[in-house]
Amino acid sequence: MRFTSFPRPASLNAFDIISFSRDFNLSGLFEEGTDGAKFVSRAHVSNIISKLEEIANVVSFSVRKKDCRMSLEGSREGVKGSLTIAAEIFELTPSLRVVEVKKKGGDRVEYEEFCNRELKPIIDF
Amino acid sequence: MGCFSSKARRKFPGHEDPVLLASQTAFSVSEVEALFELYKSISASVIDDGLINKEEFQLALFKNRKRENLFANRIFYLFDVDRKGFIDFGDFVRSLNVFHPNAPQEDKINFTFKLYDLDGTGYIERQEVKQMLIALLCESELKLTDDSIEIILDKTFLEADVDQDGKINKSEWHNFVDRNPSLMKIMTLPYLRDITTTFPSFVFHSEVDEIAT
Repeated sequence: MRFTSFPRPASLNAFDIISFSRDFNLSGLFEEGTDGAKFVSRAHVSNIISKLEEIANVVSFSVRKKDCRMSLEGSREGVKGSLTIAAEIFELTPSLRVVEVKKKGGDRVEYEEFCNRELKPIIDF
Repeated sequence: MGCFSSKARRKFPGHEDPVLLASQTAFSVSEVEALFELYKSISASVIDDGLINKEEFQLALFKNRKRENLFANRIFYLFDVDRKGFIDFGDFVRSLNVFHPNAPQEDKINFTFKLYDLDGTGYIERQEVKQMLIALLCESELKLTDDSIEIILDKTFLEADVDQDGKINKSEWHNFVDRNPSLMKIMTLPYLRDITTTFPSFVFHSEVDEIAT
């Protein structure tokens, strides 16, 4: 018999959300690029994780996961290394989750294409 | 002697001696000089007067000078220490210092308290938090209903507003941050520790050493 415990997401308060603001990120003074996309979902954590795994499968990315964090890694090596995307799931309210997606490695253009092609269509998951 | 300082002072009214600034902050002298390179480019981006105005600050933060927004205004307001209407080099270095990994946690917590206390009453009121949430949601891809916003506010104030008077005072804020240390993540910019390596394109040598010899 195998017990799988549901991953428990960290709970966000109003100030967490405020800190998500790209504008309250002074790192803009020092670096280029956007911070990461955030989506709101009504789905349960386990469903979100399954959905992301499904996407990864379709594009042959490998998946590593721990609690509410996942890492999707492509196999195709580019000049900047393989595309690696990190996703983390938080609880906003009892009925809402926030999924934060960030590029951890690889080419920015490829990352944006991935988000537009694979993630955006299923955003309201 | 003092050639560098007076030449710099002529063009940059807010310029201060890097050695002095380094002694008052967590930055080394060469780090202050690296910040001066950054300061020079920001302060010249709209009006070349050696000072950072609101537009230039916005431009530097998010490459978009037309974008008025709540947070840029608040941060500009806090960086502009004497309410002069512009940020000089001393303001720039001392304000960035609060974001240095080695800056005291106390300073970081106080900065955020002032940041979120929009009307400066000495309390973070529920209405202010709501205003910031709404401002943030307008600018982001997150969409929330009014109900969800109220639930989030309820949850936050239940935890933070211990005496349940509808507002968060300084000591409640300190306790709240102690229980939620991730809130202080935004108050530390790790690159500030290695700022001389963050700008490899700036090839400069220390003018301070030049004066000394």
